[in-house]
Amino acid sequence: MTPSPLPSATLSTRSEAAAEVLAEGAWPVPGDPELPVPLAGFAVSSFSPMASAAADRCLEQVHGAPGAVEPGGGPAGPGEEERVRRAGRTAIVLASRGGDLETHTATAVAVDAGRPAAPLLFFQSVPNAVVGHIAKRWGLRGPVICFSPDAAGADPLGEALDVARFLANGGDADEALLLLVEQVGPDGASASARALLVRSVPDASPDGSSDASSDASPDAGEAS
Amino acid sequence: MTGADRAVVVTGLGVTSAFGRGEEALGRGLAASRAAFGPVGRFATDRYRTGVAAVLPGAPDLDEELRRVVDEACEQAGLSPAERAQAPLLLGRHTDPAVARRPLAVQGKSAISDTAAELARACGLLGAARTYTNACVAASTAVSEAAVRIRTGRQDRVVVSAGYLVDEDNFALFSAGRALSPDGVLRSFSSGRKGLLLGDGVGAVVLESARAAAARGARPLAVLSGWGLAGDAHHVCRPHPEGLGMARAIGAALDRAGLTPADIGYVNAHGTGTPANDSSESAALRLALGDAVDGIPVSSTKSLHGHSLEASGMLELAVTLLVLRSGELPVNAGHLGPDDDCRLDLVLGSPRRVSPRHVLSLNAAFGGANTALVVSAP
Repeated sequence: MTPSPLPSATLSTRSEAAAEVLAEGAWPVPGDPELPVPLAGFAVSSFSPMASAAADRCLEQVHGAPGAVEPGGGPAGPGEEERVRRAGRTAIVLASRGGDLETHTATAVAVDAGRPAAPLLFFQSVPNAVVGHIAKRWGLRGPVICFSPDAAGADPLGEALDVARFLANGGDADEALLLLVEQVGPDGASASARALLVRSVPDASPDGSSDASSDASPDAGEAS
Repeated sequence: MTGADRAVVVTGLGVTSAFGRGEEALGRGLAASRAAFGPVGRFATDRYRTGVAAVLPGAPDLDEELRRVVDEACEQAGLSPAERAQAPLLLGRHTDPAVARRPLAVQGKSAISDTAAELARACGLLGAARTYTNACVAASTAVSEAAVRIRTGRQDRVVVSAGYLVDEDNFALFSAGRALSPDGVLRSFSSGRKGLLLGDGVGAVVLESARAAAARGARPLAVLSGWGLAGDAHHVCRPHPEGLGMARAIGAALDRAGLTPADIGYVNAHGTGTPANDSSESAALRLALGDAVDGIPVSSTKSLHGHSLEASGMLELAVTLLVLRSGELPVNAGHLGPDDDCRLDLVLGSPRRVSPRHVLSLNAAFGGANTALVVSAP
């Protein structure tokens, strides 16, 4: 897919585009079943399976087939070294207004009924879990970010781009997989997940330089 | 504007923990080296793995406590109403358990960030930018974003707040996940450690550019000189056993601060007291700091104030600010004996007088999330 410019993010103080979209994916698309394919280890809720499905559809356009690459494991073929390097500098930024409502509800129901919560709900109770799943599956070793966008701004994508920009400006990531996941929209919209792989352009800082430094996150193998 | 002008300084702090409200209560609790854990009275705990947490008396309200700490921080910073009105708010918090008890369609009409918008309004701030929900790194991520906003000249001043109060939903989840310590003690980095204990934690800081603070005549409490964020890409909820992501976060934070491992005088570790976290974090410290780690005192103050989830990074940032001011390193409590997987210079028995110049504050979370902050004396 041809990279396309995006409008600048909410709260942005600059008018020029701050990121380019490298790939996009979504769940559901026409022809999808009512529920996403179940995800091993994730029960009760559609939140994580949706996020994972959208992420796969987005990332396979850029990185090919999934498969975690262990840092230091050695590249498996031509182009693999570059893919591993890029993945190592790719953050995952999950934006969701309400989070995993079905898991929160299942926990509340169990607690109120005096029943023990299902052990699997323990790690699913935070959105980091599915981000960790996607990160391992695709070897993405950048920051793990989840947030609830400001309802007043009503611009989850703009805010996710803003977070990607903060990570680029800070030097912690070059690219970010943005995930926009909602089980119920504020207007009653049905469940959906959207994934965009973006490359942010660090802002020039007031003294004319970027705050980001290209080697700000050395590989652990090189850490002394 | 020079690099020095764009340095990020902390000018205000507000904090509440199980030791009480205000930084003096936290300081007294740390100095006494007695853990704040006790029986939980907010809900019945007989069906859970433990009945113990570090809690304030009664049933405090999180929104009310957040308002209190944000006001405390803004007052300590000496912000005028006009200066408050120019400062955006970044928040870290969990979903409200009350919301999960409404019908799904009704839940869809609200957002976890709604309380941040209300908090910003109540405290006279510019508005709520967003609410971080990435579990135990939510507060430290918010602090990192605020630092970048200031360093890049986007804002002169940002207020960051985070809060967690022990609630039954999370208690039930952590119990079901066998994460809670069954013996009622949180033994970070110790042999025989069996898990974590939850704790109340609510805090706020005012971060400013050094130039903006100087222009107001404000006295910095500390300098936020470095920060780093990295992922493990290893597992949905277990940390990388070799601590690769945390080591990268520490390396990035040191690089940004322009410091070497030998410059670090104290590490306030994440140290949850779970077997996997503490061995992974120890490996990360050795990987990132090299042989210097043997001479750097480490403690996890979760062993005193408990694990306050999304607010951990904020409560522990408050601890580092108190350490820089008092020159006393708080103990790593509950220690039974050394563990080969956690070979660190732990602060044991009583506080250690060191007066560090630079302190490292670490947090990690499910999904392989890792953050490191470098906090320096002003």
